[in-house]
Amino acid sequence: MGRGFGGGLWRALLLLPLAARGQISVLNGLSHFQPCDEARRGSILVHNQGDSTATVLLQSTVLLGQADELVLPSEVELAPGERRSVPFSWQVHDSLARHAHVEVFAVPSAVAPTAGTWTVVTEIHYLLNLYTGCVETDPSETLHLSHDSLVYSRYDGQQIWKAMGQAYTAWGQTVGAPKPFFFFPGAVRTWRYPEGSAYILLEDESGHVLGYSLQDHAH
Amino acid sequence: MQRNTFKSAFIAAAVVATASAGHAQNTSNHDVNFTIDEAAMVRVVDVAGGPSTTLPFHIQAPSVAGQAFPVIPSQNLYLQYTSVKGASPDNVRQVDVEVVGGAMPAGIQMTITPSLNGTGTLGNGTPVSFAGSAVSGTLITDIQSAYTGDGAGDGAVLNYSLNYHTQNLDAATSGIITLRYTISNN
Repeated sequence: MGRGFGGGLWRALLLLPLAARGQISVLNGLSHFQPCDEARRGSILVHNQGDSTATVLLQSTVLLGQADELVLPSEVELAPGERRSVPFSWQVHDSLARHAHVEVFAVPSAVAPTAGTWTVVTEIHYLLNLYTGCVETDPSETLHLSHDSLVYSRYDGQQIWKAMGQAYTAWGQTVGAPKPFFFFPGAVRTWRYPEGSAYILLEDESGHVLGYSLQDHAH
Repeated sequence: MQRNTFKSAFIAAAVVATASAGHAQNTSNHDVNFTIDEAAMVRVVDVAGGPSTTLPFHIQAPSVAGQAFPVIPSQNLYLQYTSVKGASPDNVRQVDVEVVGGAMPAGIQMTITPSLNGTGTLGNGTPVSFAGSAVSGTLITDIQSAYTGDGAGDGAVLNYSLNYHTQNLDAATSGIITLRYTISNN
């Protein structure tokens, strides 16, 4: 009888959100870019929303570059209500882009299994993207555009390129809202351009402009 | 990215002196710095707004031999969040959910259905089901600047429902299942 659902016994599925001790947040963004002309230092501002001390773990995975090029504490302890800037730096001396994921989360409470029950524990993670690198100076050679109902942009360069996209009608009037883009090596972005668009322009902060005709390349 | 800091310079005052000697006008400038936290704040609460709770699903035997196990009602948790977007690529965010510990009990499929409530660009919700090898999914996409409220009943309703067939159940499978909610850029 002990193994079955019958016999008048029931099994319970418990959902246990972690207690207030597990509540942290990130207050200065989920993406951080350190250009190569600066010190390549940044910080992650973490807040303990809970009512008890929180041990916050920062687990980094360098996706582009070497693991030891990113220097970041792996653990900080925050008092209730405390905000703390956790510094990080890139130990990089060339122009190529680097990219890392950092998962920020509070150490979860231990939950002991209870015989005859299923217990679901919930936890919150913040996944941050850290980038560094020099800004692309000739995107015309490294950005490849194509389209069907979407515009596809693929960046084949080795640096970083930030641009604002805008669609235009055949008469040169803007159509739709501008769309920001951030490219790093291998990045592919899609854009559902507004109806009535004849061409798009991508312009970066240095004034480089890339144009793409949606009519000349009609499919 | 990081903090959005911008400056607004304005003319603070034009002081006109009306001394008997005549009019004199002095103009001074101030820089006013605005700093907006590029916040990503998420928590899960119960129906009372409490940060810690249990939601027991009692999968009870039927009252009469020969019947199938009855369907049990779904239950809700609430995902409360505050988000202020930044520059690309942190201009849109999403919430993914994944089973990272344990496994769903044999014969049971759990579906989390989000229903978004709040102010601002809260994003778009999509149900995610867990059973067998299906262990992850994207729950909410396209979150920009928004907040859900932090009171009882505020937030994105996460409706947990179970689907099972009596003949597939196995009471020997029990333990802890860890569900991870991850907020990130799209």
